[in-house]
Amino acid sequence: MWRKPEEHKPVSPQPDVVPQSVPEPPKPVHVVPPPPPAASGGVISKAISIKGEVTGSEDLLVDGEVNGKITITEGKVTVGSSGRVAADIEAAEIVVRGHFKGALHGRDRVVIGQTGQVNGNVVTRRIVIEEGAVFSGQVDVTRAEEARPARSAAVSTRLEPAIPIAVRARDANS
Amino acid sequence: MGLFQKLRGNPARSPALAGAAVPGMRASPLATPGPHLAARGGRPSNGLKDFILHLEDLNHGRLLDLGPVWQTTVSFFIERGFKVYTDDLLSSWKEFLRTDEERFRSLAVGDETFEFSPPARAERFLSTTFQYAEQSFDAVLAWDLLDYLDSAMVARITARLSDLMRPGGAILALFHSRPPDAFYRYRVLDHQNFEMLPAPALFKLDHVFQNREILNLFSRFHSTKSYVGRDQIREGLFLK
Repeated sequence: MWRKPEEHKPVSPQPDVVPQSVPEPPKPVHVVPPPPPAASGGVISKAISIKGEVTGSEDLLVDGEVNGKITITEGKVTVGSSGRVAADIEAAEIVVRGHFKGALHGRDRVVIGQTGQVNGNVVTRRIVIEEGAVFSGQVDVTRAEEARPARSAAVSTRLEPAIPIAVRARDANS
Repeated sequence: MGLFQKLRGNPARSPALAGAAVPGMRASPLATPGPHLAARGGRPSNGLKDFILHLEDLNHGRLLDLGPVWQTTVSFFIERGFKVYTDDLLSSWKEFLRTDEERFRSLAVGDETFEFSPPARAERFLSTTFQYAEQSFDAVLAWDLLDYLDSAMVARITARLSDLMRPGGAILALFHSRPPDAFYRYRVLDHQNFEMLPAPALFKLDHVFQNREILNLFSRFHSTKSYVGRDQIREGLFLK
């Protein structure tokens, strides 16, 4: 009933409090290097030189030397800043930041980066040329209309099964 | 319709050249005229305006830009159905002179097989570089390159350009009426403005052409029109 009076416990000494005005030591800044452009795909590194044909279906980074032909059906080919390529490249997207001589056939896009040097022809739907890029050759941009027949054909194939279903529904009603 | 008839007549431009972009092509914001251009330092150009008016009739033609490559220039002409060729002639000439001189220095004393005169040098350059089939182009942007070439090169380049042009083709060239304050590179901003970008000089100005000299250089062209701006840049439009 009677609450026991609280005992006056001795206060334990507080640790020294650092005054707020003292600046905290600077935290180390962690600079995260950007991932290499085609890290998820294959890499032809600086020390590698290839003569012949390179084919594949995933992204490719070329930092070495390639003479011949590169065909990447669905991916991106990046010629890195130390890459030297004398070839024809065919890919969905092509980025050139190194030296390139030959023909670029980028189905969706071709990018000639600031450090890129291209001598040859470019055929693509979209081209991006960054300031400082060096280019000598022809740019041929294929118009969207030229690509349309292929796309409309794909759509009509997908719609075909709908026709018999509609016919059956009408039969059921009659 | 001839160019000058067009200039006298209705200047309304066809939709093809009025900023209609090719679907799928990333439109350059600089390719359409707008008030932002003045802020970017665009230089109004009657020569460019008439050059583009002339190109209206040439759908899907081929254009050769003899300056460095720029996204704005490439986009501008591609959006108008042109195939664009870029050949930075002054850079190629500079590189050629460097290698040619190295070759000359490596020759044994008394070896006279290598002629180092300006005409011989120009012939060597044109036999290895600037190789296109005759009548390949409908339009050429020559900018001010002729001001920086020696007389042997100027004569040969203008003759070569004449060969490369298709009948009805047009060349736009610039000439400094007085020595410029800097070395410039040029890019098209829209149908009547180009941008002058100061750049590290590749060459010193070789010659200030008089009007008569310009007419003589392009004597194989049936029509010539020139415009002088306040900045003393003479723009020449030459029709083959």
